[in-house]
Amino acid sequence: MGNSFTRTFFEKTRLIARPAIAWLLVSFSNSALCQSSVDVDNWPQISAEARGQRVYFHAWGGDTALNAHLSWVAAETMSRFGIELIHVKLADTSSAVTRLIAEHDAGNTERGSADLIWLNGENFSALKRANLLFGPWAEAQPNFELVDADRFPEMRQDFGVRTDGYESPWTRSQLIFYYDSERLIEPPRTAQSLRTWLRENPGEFTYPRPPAFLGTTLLKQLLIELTAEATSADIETLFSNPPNESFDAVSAPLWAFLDEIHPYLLREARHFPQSGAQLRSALNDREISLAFAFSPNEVVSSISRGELAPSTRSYVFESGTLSNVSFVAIPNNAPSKQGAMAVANFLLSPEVQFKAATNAKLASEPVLSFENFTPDQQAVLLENARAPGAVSPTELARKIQEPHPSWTNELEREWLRRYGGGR
Amino acid sequence: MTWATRFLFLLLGAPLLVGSVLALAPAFAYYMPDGSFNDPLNHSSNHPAGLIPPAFFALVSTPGIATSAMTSLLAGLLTPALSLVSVFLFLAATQTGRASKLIAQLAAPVLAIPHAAAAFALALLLAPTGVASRLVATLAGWELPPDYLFINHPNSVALVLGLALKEAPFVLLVALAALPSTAAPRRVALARTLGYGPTTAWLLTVAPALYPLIRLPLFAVIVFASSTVDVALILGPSLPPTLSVRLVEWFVAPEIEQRQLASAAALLQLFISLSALGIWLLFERLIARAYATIAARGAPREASRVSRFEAVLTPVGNTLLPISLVLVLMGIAALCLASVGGQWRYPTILPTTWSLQHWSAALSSWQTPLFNAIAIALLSVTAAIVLSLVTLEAQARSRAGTASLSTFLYLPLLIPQVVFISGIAVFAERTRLPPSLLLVAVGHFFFVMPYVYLTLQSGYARLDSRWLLLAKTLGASRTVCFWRVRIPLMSTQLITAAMLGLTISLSLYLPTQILGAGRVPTITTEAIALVSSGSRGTIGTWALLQSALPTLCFMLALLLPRLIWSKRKGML
Repeated sequence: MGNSFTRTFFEKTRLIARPAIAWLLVSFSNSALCQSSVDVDNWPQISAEARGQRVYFHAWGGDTALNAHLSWVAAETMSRFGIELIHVKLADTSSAVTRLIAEHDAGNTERGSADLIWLNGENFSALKRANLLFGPWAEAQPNFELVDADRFPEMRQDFGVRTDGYESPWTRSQLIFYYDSERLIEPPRTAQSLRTWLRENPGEFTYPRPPAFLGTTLLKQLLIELTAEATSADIETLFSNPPNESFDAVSAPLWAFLDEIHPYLLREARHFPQSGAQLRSALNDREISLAFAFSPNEVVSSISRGELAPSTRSYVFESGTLSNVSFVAIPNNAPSKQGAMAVANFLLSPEVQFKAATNAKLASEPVLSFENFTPDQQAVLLENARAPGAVSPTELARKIQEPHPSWTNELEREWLRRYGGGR
Repeated sequence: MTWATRFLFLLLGAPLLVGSVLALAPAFAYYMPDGSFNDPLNHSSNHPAGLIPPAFFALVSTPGIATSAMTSLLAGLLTPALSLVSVFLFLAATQTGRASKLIAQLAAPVLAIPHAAAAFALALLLAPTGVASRLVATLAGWELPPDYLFINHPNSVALVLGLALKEAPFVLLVALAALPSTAAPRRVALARTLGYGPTTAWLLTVAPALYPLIRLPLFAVIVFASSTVDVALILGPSLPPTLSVRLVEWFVAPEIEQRQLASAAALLQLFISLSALGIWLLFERLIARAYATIAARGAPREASRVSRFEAVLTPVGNTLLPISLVLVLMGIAALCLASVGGQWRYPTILPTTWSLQHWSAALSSWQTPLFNAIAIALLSVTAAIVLSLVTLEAQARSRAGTASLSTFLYLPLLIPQVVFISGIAVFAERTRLPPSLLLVAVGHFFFVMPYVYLTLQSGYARLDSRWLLLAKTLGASRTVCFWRVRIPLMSTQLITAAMLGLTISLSLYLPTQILGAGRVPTITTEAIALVSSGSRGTIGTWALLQSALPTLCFMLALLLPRLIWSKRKGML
């Protein structure tokens, strides 16, 4: 309240009395003007203040099912909490980050364009380091305890970086491979067998061009698997820390592997798809016979959308696959922080989580621990896990944690250096 | 120069200058805000400190940057060349026959289709899983799609083709508009008395007179082709992508050093676009000289040689442009198929199941984007028309020269969009202008203004001033002359200018996205965001939705004058 009053006051007088404002700014710099008036521990007050706020949610807009789900969420937040939720559909999440940095550079500390952002670990790490995020707030949400973060530490880890309450989980993902069971009987289940299989079936596999998210994910998966084969060192410690000067040595087997398989990729690796979606349509058109996605229910939802054949099956590599949790964060210049928190809390409610998981076209993987759903909901979720194309829960239990985000940067940089310039 | 002209110079020039400077400035930064400097791409950085900003070192050491720049340069040169050759050959071969009128009518809707939609249409036709390949597969009995690379090939043939398909209709319409002032039939008749065949005669006598009149629009084509983002993303190479695509990738990257890299790349982009212009100017000279030599040699004596030359050029001219138009229209048909297709696996020619799910999904979320798109287009076009009329009227009253202004108006089209729009966004941010529909409309204004002004200018030039004189002798004031004589007589040009402006505004992506901060969704921004869905049906639906409004505008531009003047003769 005080904050918004000072803000209006500030803006109104700005034109008339600039020098006076400069003085005001100096003398009040440590008081209300620059301090956040949001008390995250007082949830009733937050809910009250959130009413009537307009929340701009910056999230990737390339999935019609997700867009439809978010517009349902927006209708609900409006009728239940009086919050106007606006989904800003981004072609690329990093553009929201760019904007945030630009606003910060221009001294915009209270009128940011985003209230809630769906971040990935790489961007989260960059923004948290630059002190551009509001928090900690996430663990103060009433619904946060439903994720059971003590039992599932990944709910507090974004790409190996501790979230420290600056991010709230809302969906989870895992790398899965999929194939058309009418064309391929026994798909490769390790990196090594992928190489052998490719040699016998040239042109039947490819991956999105890093830094496209899914392409980089495959690089990390292969790197961890190849490293685990080559050394007996502690893999978890190695990858949970930033890469050091041993990066060249550690990553050497990966580049040797890629050099070997590239001639056998689709289009002989002279062109890579831009996204997982293009990979999916390549599989559907039988250009390739093995593809992968970073969403455990990709195949189920794609079959229901008619984008994959009903004979498509998915699986996880023998030694497990990369998995992570998707988080939302609030920029520290967000004008509607209370509204953003209320929305994040709503996204964590069993009702929304269940709805997102059982929406056939979306089939999002819930972040709540299973027993926090009602028995009826649990029954439906179990039934869905047996749908054709779904990955079994036992397979999904084979998870590999995301390496530290610096690995992502290094891998992308090195990939671009080696292959990005063409031949 | 009248006050109105000066005002217009300032109005257009200041944001251009400020925008460009702000966009390019970070390239010269030496240190990151936290005081440290780390070279993003060069691990063993041993560059001489102080002389050249590090961003440029980073840029130069980026793998494949030379290839990227070269691709952009080549696209910038080959696209206008291909468009110009096909249009000139077509005009030469058909002269003023019925065919040229028919093709011009076909070209107008193609012009209205946004670049991205046309690029998708082409990809949908020619990709290994595209319609063309499916046709062959059905005839030849293929089960699996062939593994060839055409779309996205490093040689950029598909990129140039895709751009030329869209630019040739533009060049054609510009050329057709300028053609009457060249007295083409008389030139051709004269050349034919010297023994030339009709096609050769047109190329030798009309082309040199027509070319200077369409030069500036061609320059705009050069700059656009060398800096396009959306078409290059869809059809261009990916290893490495064109310079413009990499520039945008760097611009949206979260790391601050990448933004400095983006600024350095923007400077390189400016250099590449200007180089393309420079090389084009050089070729202009060379070709002019060659023309002079050929023309001076006279018509060949033996009739057989005349006919052989003619026999090659005439059919090529007759077919090249029509084929390209047919290709686009076939692509649009493929988009239509995709938008109502359910399962459509290779190698079936038609979808195996039909579904309206893509349309119902699109139509459930189209109101706001549609409203925004129309509001922005109307605002920017109204502003452009009012300002153009004020300037033109002031010029007409003072009889001041206008040549420098029309050249100047091309500036927003000659500076790559990515360069100055990002600068304007920074400027808006610094002056604390919140991203809004109005700000987007202001951004659109810069791109709409040149076309509106130039269309209206030709209307002013064409209007017989004796009408106004007559009105004045009857006691009409200047104001009355303007409202009761000039405006009604120019209504055809006004409608054309408005519709052209609306079409351009409706298809702008980058200014909308960057200035609106994603908060002002339009049909175009929604379409491009959904491109990443990769679903053929979704892309087809949105590409069609995106094309629908501009096409409607074009049809109105053709129809409205006919309705207005249905009871008058000789007004069209």
